[in-house]
Amino acid sequence: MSAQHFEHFLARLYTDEFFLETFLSYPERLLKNAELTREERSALLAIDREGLKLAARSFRAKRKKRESKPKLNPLKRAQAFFATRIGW
Amino acid sequence: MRELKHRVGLGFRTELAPSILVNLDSIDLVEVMADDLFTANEARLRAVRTMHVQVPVTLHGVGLGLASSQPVCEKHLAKVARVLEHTGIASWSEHLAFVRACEIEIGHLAAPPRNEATIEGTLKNLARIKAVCGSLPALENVATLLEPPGSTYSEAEYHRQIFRRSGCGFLLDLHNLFANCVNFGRDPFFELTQLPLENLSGVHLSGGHWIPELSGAKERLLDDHVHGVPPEVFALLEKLAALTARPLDVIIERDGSYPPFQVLLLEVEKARACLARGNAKYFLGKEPALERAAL
Amino acid sequence: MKDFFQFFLQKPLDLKGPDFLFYYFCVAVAAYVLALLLTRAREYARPVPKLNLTDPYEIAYLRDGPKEAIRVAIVSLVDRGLLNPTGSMVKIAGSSAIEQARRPIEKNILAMCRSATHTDTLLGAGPEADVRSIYEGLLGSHGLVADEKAKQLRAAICLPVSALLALFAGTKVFVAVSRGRTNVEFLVVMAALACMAVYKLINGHRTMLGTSVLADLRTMFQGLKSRQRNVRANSGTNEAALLMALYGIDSLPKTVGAGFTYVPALFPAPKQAPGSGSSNSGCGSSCSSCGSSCGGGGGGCGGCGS
Repeated sequence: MSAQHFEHFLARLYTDEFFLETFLSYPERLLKNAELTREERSALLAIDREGLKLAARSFRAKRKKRESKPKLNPLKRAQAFFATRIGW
Repeated sequence: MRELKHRVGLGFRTELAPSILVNLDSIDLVEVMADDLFTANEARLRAVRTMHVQVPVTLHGVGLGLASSQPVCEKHLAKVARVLEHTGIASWSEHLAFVRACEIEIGHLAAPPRNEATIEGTLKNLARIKAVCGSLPALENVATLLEPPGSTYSEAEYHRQIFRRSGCGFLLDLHNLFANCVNFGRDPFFELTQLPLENLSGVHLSGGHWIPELSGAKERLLDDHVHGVPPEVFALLEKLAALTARPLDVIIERDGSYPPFQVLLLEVEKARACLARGNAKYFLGKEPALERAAL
Repeated sequence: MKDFFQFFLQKPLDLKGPDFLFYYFCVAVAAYVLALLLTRAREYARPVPKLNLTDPYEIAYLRDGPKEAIRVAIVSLVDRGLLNPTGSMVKIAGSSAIEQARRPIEKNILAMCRSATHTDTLLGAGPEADVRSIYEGLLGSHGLVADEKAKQLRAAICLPVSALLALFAGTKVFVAVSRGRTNVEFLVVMAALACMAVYKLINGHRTMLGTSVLADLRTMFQGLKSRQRNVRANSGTNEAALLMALYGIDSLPKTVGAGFTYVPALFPAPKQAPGSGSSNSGCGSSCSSCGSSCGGGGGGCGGCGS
């Protein structure tokens, strides 16, 4: 489905810095090979570039914050694994 | 004049927990993050059940990403179902957002393209959620720094379509509405009147801060949940209460930079006062004739 | 495995010495587990009650009985400046202190401290009975502490089980003696221990529901426990009182800066009431009754972290 490809393209813009830079610099080139409809390509070419950069930065900060959260120690991870599968 | 039984409460956070629990005479309900309970053992889930006896608890999910043309992640859905089953809590909510696409995790809530394909996908996801979890969540509008590309509906029309066709409850985040309106040049008070208030089941209040655009030309409002609720959002709450005569569950969300607890209790009181003033206007017919959402 | 089950299908009274002891041990364990499960089923049938979480003494009473509620109240009153401590003696801080007391237990303690009073006096039988009259009925009606009715229900389950174990052992002793065997000491000791273990189930302070609710409260207040080192005296909040109520007086921070250095002197000799557990234990009667969580493991219900 093209809509799924469109969301995938957006997700890449939000999460892949290199992909975003390439899109901002050479949007037509990048869109040429994407599995998108003509309308979807037009929509992306007309995208709010400032908003896109801000959104990508915001998502990056959220992902970093999530990754910096202390992870469960191995024992607690094992306990969580069994808790969710066996229903302890 | 009728008095509606609104419930005003706080988002339950570990840092706030002791203060919330000893101030239950001032708080009507709490909202617990469902995703935090995914790895909880039976003892912790049982503690949530016990808390639900002390004060009404509603669960709030962030990671389903149901507003998408892609199916929801089955593993995530199973975890939600487990939490609902083990806590016995009936009231829950999620966001009208997508959080992943294929294998890419965005990391937070992204506004989906507001078009027919997303709406169809959302409805399919909701049907799947109902089959697995046994109930439908209330759906919350999200803030965005970027008008989602590929949109064919306005934000208000998109929400009208979703709620008319899904029958879900509408969890209206007033700061998200406010942020989207100020960021994209719309009047939040007018926008409020365009939303499907007949589906309204709850309200979120929170705060944010202004961030400069990377070009430095303008600023945009970021909904960050670490600032107090601004006066404009309280004004929107009062306006909302003047438009609808249904009892509301209002949650004040704060995820960090916690002020002294009394400050949060003051916000709770302020919300109650706004609801009372707004309802008074409703019952006195002081609002212009609109399509009112009545009980 | 087949031999194991066949072992239990033999006539037990014909078993010899060590074989019978093993047989009796298995039966005693099964009887204990049965008594436990039956008690649990009865006590868990009650719904979880709505508690008054603003009353730390109610929580302290649930955890470890009247003396613990009094200890928490004494420290709380000192912390709020209503009692002045000197070693293990306390005295009311001015005549208006009683008016500032929020709870009956506080008023009772302040009334007893018009002159300097030893904390042992405040923990005596009279004050204990007063506190019991305040909280026992309330928590008992919720099914959280073992009041007379709960103890009678437990006795109805545990006494017959104890009696059967005693009868079984007694019968074997009779058969052994009648066959000329006199080395029955191990059996007598084992039977006594088994009967005592089952009997002990009757006298626990908390019901199983109470132990479960206490564990839940500890989970809900996990955030407080994790920052116990930052709790300070004279903070004007309920934090210190709640911390003590849930986890015991020993959970107060011991650093000089925290302001609780007077606490060890207030209660010089740790008093452990027999059968009611230590001030830091999560289970009153028996830890095997706690189910999945005794000490409230796991974190609280945190935010979305966005």
